Amino acid sequence: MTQYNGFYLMGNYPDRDTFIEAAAQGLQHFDFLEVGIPFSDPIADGTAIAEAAQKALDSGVNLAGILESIKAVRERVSPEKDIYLMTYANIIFNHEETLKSEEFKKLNVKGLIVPDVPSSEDFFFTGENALDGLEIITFLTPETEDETIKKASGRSNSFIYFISTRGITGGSMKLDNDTMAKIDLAKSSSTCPVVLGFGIRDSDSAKTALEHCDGFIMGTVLIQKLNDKGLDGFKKFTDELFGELG
Amino acid sequence: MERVPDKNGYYGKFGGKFLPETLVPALKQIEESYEKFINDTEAQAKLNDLLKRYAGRPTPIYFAENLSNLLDVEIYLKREDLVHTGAHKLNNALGQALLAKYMGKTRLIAETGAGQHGVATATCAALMGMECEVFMGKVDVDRQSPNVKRMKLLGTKVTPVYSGSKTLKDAINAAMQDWVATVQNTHYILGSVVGAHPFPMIVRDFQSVISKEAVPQFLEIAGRHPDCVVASVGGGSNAAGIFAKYLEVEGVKLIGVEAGGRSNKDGDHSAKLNYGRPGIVHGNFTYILQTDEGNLMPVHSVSAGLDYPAVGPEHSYLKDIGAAVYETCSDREALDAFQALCRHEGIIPALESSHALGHVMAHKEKYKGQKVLINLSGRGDKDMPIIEEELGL
Ligand SMILES: Cc1ncc(COP(=O)(O)O)c(C=O)c1O
Repeated sequence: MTQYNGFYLMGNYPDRDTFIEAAAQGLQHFDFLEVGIPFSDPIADGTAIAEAAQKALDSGVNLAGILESIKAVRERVSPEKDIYLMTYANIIFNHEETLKSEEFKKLNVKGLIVPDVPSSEDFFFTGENALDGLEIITFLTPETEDETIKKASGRSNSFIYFISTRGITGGSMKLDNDTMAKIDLAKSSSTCPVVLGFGIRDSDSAKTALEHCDGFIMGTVLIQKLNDKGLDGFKKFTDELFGELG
Repeated sequence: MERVPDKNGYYGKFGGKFLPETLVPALKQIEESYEKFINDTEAQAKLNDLLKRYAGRPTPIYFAENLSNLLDVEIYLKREDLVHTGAHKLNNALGQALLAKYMGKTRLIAETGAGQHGVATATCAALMGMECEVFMGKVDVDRQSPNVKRMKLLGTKVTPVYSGSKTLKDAINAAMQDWVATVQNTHYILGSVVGAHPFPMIVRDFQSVISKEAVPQFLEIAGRHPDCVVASVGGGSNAAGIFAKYLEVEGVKLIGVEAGGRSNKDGDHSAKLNYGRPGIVHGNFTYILQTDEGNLMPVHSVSAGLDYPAVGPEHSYLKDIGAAVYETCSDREALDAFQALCRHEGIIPALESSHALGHVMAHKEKYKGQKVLINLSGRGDKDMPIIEEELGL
């Protein structure tokens, strides 16, 4: 089966140009990009991403500016590459008009990844005031009950975001037997890729993810590479990673 | 009035369960266990016994005669400051700690602003032999230091939070982040009527003991119901507790008092129901103080327990349907009320509770001749560092 691998970058972080460059470079290897829109109170994020969000907010980063950058990224990458927005419910709630606009549709953003909107609450953004065409990506976790996994898997179109571990971003991956059984259940009940995220930070953890899932998502480690080693370090890391994955 | 919340956890359009998917099964377990817990006579007997013999309930209603004469307003105080540990927070912590045991959890976590909820949770952990960790913004660790020492004495780990504004909202973020990772053995005792369903409901129910007692007590000492019931609003738990039974009594005006801070300019206050607009944070849809972009705004209050940019969803609902009104009290007015209660009644109130009295004092003409029941939610020992700085001692 073809892989569906994704990476996370905070929008316009550490600055606009670096973000656009890293996005375009990363999409040479990865199949999709999650663009973070910074939020002041990111309860699902560990220190690395939370600090990046705070710095971005301090330097005036906002949705409008990030959408401009996504336009620039779109011009540089193949149209098959997918782009998602990743942010928190209140940012979505405050920008519903923007997300329904014609301008926005031109960016071909495929869906929203919103860690504080579980599937029980996604009616808040679908139903009547549907953000048409924009799918809210389903999260499944080691805690999710089997019935919910079956139901959620049947409804998803783009991909299912399976969280590898109980915890926030930036931790380490621990796949216990129960979790692996839940991943298998998700895969057998869905027609779209099941992608593993949280705690994947090198080729070993990526390989483990690919043994069980259709793809992996990398986030924290890439923010750290950009922080510590800049664009060159980012590029070297992703080139080597995909070299090792073959 | 409709019964709220509905089965999905909504109070009209407010409320909900906006938390990471990992926590959804835990919320469901809490909801189901709570339903069993309140129908389990043995468990209820245990809670009632603890409330009586351990916490010291019922608390009295006291007619503050000196202050009443001075203001020409009849001031009655529901003395939650006399509850063990010094505030209403123990009513909820005891209930939830028993619920946590009932669910087989072995570890408790909590956020705290003023430190009262932290102390209440630490107290329950000591009593019930459970491990406990309390998250507290660094700013609050400094300004409410007596409560930090109390928590440590009680055997609790106090974790200062250095992110964001280093206050209550950041402590809640940190507690939620811990809970996502530890949910298998840990119960998060939220300290106010905030968070995702069923927390706002559970906390309100445990706090409603305040008005279950107050309604008959007030009738007994004043011969009729009060004209107004006034409570400070941080997250809104002491207000929810004293409003609960009075919502069923015709003709009693319910008044929540938010922190007016230094001024009504952005960043100078914590008055979300007065100056905010609806949004989603910490698990529910409610009034919040936020930027156009949707980020939480910095807020201010001299009182750590009111220094929070959001509010429980039920208050947003009560405001919108007009069942309660929400006023403000400035830092200055609260400090004046604090001093007045010390000097004229020999009661040192918490700065949070001082906001409820401060509003009435600042508008005494409006309340002239009325019978006003104020929820004196806590005592002020914890506030000495702030009082020293603000008033000089
Ligand atoms: C004594 C006291 N009153 C009031 C509050 C405000 O919280 P709530 O609005 O939930 O009652 C606090 C919070 O720390 C408190 O300690």
